[in-house]
Amino acid sequence: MRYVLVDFLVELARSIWLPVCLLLLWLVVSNGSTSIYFPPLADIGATLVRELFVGDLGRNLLLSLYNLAVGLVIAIVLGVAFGLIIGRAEKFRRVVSPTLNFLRAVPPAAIVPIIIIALGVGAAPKIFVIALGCFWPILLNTIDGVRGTSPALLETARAYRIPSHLFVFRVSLPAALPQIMAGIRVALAVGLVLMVISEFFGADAGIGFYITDASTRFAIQETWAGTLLVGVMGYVLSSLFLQIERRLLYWYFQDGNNASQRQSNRRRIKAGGGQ
Amino acid sequence: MNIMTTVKSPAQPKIKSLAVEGLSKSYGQIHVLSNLNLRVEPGEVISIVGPSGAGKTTLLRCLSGLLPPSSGGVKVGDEPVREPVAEIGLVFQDYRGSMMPWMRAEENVAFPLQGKGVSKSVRLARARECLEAVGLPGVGDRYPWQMSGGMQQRVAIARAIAYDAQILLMDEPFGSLDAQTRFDLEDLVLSIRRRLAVSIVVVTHDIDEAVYLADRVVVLSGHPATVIDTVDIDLGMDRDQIKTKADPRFAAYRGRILEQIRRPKPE
Amino acid sequence: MVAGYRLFFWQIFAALCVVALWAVSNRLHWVDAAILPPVEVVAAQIVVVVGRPEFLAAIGNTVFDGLRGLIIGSVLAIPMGILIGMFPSVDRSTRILIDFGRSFPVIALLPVLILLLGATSQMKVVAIAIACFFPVLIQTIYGARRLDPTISDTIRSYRIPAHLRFFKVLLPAAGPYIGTGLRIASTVAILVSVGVEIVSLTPGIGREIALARSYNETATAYAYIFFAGLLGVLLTVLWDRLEARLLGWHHRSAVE
Repeated sequence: MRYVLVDFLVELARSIWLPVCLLLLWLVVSNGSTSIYFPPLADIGATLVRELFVGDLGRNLLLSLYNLAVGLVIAIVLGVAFGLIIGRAEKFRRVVSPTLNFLRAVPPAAIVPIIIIALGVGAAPKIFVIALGCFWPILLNTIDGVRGTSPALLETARAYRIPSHLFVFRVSLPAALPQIMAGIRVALAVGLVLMVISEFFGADAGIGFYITDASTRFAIQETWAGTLLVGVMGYVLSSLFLQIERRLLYWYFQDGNNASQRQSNRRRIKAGGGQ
Repeated sequence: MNIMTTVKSPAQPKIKSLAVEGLSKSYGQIHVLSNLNLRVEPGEVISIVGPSGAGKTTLLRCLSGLLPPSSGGVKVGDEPVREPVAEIGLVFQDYRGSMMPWMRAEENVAFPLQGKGVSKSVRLARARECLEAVGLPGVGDRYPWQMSGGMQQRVAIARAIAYDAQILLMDEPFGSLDAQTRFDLEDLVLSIRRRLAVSIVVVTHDIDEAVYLADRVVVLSGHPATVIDTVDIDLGMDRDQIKTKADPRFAAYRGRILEQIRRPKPE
Repeated sequence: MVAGYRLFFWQIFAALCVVALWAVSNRLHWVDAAILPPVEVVAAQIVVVVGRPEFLAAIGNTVFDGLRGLIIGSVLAIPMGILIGMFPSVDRSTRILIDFGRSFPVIALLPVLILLLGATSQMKVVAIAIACFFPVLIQTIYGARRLDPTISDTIRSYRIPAHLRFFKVLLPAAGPYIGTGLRIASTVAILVSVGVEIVSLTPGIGREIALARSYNETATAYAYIFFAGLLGVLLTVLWDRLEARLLGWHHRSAVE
């Protein structure tokens, strides 16, 4: 038992020594800094903690996360549903694919000013923008995933006369799931960007609003604190997502045969890079 | 391999025959099968052999209803087969690909029953029973990738049995397995035909396997492929990997078929 | 060939259906004209906008700043990625940093960047470079990590010196992955470029969209959005062509 613990600590040390060193370096170098743009890290940290627990930052963060979660859920439901349908209808897919490719190529950030300014500062326009931006990567990856279902499985399902509702939920959906999850991962990054951007525009709350508001007031420490918090949030969300993915795709990650397929899946991920 | 229990099917319907009548198949200009006639009587085991590329798999896919024939047809009992029918259970060569990797063994076996509307407890119980019958007791909760190739192919056979298929169609079922596993599975097929009321059609390129398993061997050859010979195998019901294969009659059948397959080779 | 024409016809038809849906929703007032102006007005603006002097400048700014950011980001990311991929210990100790960096929405950095650099093209290029850096880095690491053990054994047994190993073995082996990284990053470059322009009003398509919107010329904003989408499609087509030509050998060997 003791060895397990020692091993664990050694592994941990190996992966965190560099980030810890860099953080310490920043702490030491910035200590006593008088530049207004680069306040000491210790001060930023103190501001972050204070704003988070005493000030408004915590409330703003929760508000933003709520918008992100609702938008993402809408995008997942619609993207997967349409993806399952279009992925099965090959002729239809070929007919609509130029249109879909054009629509997903439109930078989602571009519609933010229009939607936000027209619809006002509430949560609904932000959720709409997030859902719209997240929809495309999920849709396109679901279509690809469904189309990638192995012919042997399709034959098996036909030979055993699997009715279509069962086929969709027990064959198509799980077969496409690795690719769907890859799409959601991209969508998460897109959603995060849209969440922040939409709050830059017309908003009176939210983490994005908090950052711009602080920067226009030249509250440098608050600006840094908010920005760092967004980074931490992005990291925590994507780590969380990775855990969910590992759970859901247990069968997929265990199967040694998928190792090479996984690599090629990664190469096929649509509209990669959420920025 | 005598540990098997008997698998009682809920309702044992009268087995139907499988008839191929004047079946031809071509892909565009390429004629693969030409005017095949064949009849599988209830309870019979038939092997279809032929050199690679002779259209064996195409024939099996036509038999199962996965592929529409160009002319002629297939009948189960009196009903023509146009789409896959409930009487036929298919065992694919690609055992890996035909298992849903997200389902455990018993879910894979039970899945076609779910399609028939069988309730969950009943279909899982039946899946376990059938897994036991193919010599896999207690592995129902394993995923396909936790099983060897031979085990996966046993699961595929269990799935066909659980489906209450009256006719098992097997496409090169043991082609990619090692010799020992292959022998075990051949004996499993023989034991299934002894215990269950099913007809079995095995497509294979292995002549030993064809003779060992079958009551009748159908030899396909030529381009497009035709039935060039039908050999009745009179080796009795009880066969044994060593004794049967050492039997002089076995060698005679084997030689006859081998000669048939080699003869039409163009120089 | 006939089938090809027929498909093309149906594809046009599908696109027209979307336009028709747009027109119908205008007529029946399903959506506010402030959000979605009449389709014919937008179509007219698409033509009008092309004639304006700022049009080419806007496209040029977005594309070239995007390209500059992409190049800077990639030049930093490729050697670093190969080094990280070559040494498992470096790989492990940098993983948290890289995961942090890649999940960071660069747009959130804008207020800080604007404070530091002002709302300038330089600032935009820096933001794009940061955003492009991570996808290229991550793909390069994959590529360098997956060097075939047989190849690495061969290198070791023939005692190939380090600089040759880097340029003649690792770089070509990681090539297809770097290509994928560049492809992702080039999409990212356009998206970030437009996003930064919208927020900071630095010159480019995004600035035109934001300005048109603030003058209440929503149709003009849509015209520019249309061209931003066209840019994305063009990029995809270019990459498809390039990949088909360059990576032929890679796909073939992947089939084996």
